[in-house]
Amino acid sequence: MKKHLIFLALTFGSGLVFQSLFFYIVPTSVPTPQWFLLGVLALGAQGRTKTATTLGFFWGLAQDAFGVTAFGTQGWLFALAGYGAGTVSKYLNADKWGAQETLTITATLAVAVGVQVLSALFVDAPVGSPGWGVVAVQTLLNGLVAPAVFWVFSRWADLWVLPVKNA
Amino acid sequence: MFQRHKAALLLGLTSFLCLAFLSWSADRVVRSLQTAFHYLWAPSTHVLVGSLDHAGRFSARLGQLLRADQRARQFESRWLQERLDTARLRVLEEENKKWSDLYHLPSHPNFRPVAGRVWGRDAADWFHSVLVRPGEPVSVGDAVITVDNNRPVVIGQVRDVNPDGTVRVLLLTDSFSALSAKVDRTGELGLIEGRGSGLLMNYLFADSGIRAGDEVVTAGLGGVYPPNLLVGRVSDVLEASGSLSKRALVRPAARLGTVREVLILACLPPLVP
Repeated sequence: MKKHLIFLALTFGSGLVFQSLFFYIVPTSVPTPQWFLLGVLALGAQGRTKTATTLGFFWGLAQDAFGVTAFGTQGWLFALAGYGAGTVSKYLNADKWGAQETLTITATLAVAVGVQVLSALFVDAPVGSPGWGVVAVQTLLNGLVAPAVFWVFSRWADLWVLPVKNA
Repeated sequence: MFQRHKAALLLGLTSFLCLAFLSWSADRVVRSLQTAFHYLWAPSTHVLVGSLDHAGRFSARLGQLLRADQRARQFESRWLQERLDTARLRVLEEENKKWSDLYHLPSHPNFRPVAGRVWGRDAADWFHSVLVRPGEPVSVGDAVITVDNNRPVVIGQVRDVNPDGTVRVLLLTDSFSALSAKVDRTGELGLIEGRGSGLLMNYLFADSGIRAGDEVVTAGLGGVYPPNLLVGRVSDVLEASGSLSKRALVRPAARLGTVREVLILACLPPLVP
């Protein structure tokens, strides 16, 4: 349990560090891969549903706190994405490229739609949709980097030798 | 039961919290929570980015230090080479002096450079002379040179010393100007004379190998100019049929219209052995 919490905290911290470094190099004005979402999906696809849901919740809130979406929007959507990926992990092989891409593209589009719906429902003056062109580019970028992210998270989890049933 | 549905309960809890945040997004408590969340993670970004900036500056300074070290090594190497050259020249000078004494040869003239600034130009004499204010007193007949493309090049000669401290320098191109010169490639001697905008090299032998592009330098005869100062480059060779000599048109090396600083070579008495 203790090991699991350390894993959770370190993964959360490393994700924030990576995101900060990434945005130090790449300007935030251009579409970039959604690293947090991909990380959540990678963990969920390994069957680590609770870890993916928890990290999705906190990473999403971190994005909300720094971003333009209402506080809680991405926190909820990423938590849902983690839970969804964990639930369907029984039916797919996360090591297969096709499964990774399907999961990534579906989740990216679902999150994009979710952000729009939640903004429309909960925000009085939404900042405006980024447009489906941006969503398409983001989906493409997510799809391109997804295999690498899935591989990194698989190796990272292997390092900790955590049983999936406790995760 | 609880263990089996732990993930679903977790999702329920997070969903409840997120929906609460969204529903009461305008509420002071939720805003404070968002701000707290922001400020909780903001320092990590600053620390990271600050560290990266520090690392970048450190790398840049390290690079500068390494380049400075490399330059220092180059200078050290050149300094050593120059010390060796100086020692070698001293030996040669002593040897030369010994032979000169043996044959009773007169010493070469000695020059002291005096820096000067072009002070003005006379409208009536624009293309023939310039007024120069030297840093120290100089004499009529002293050579005047400048540096062009890191090479000393001849400009002319001091013609008058004015009471206000300025001197009038007769430019090479003036028709009254003349100096002994040689073709650098072949060593043939001739006389350079001013021809308005250009120069003419006279008294070359008919079998002279002079050709366009050759550099013409001072011969060092007469003790006015030190030897091997660049005068100009041959632009054309004039060969009259049946003539016993050749002439060459020479383009001055110094850009006489843009000269601002000059060196006046004050002639000193020959060194007494």
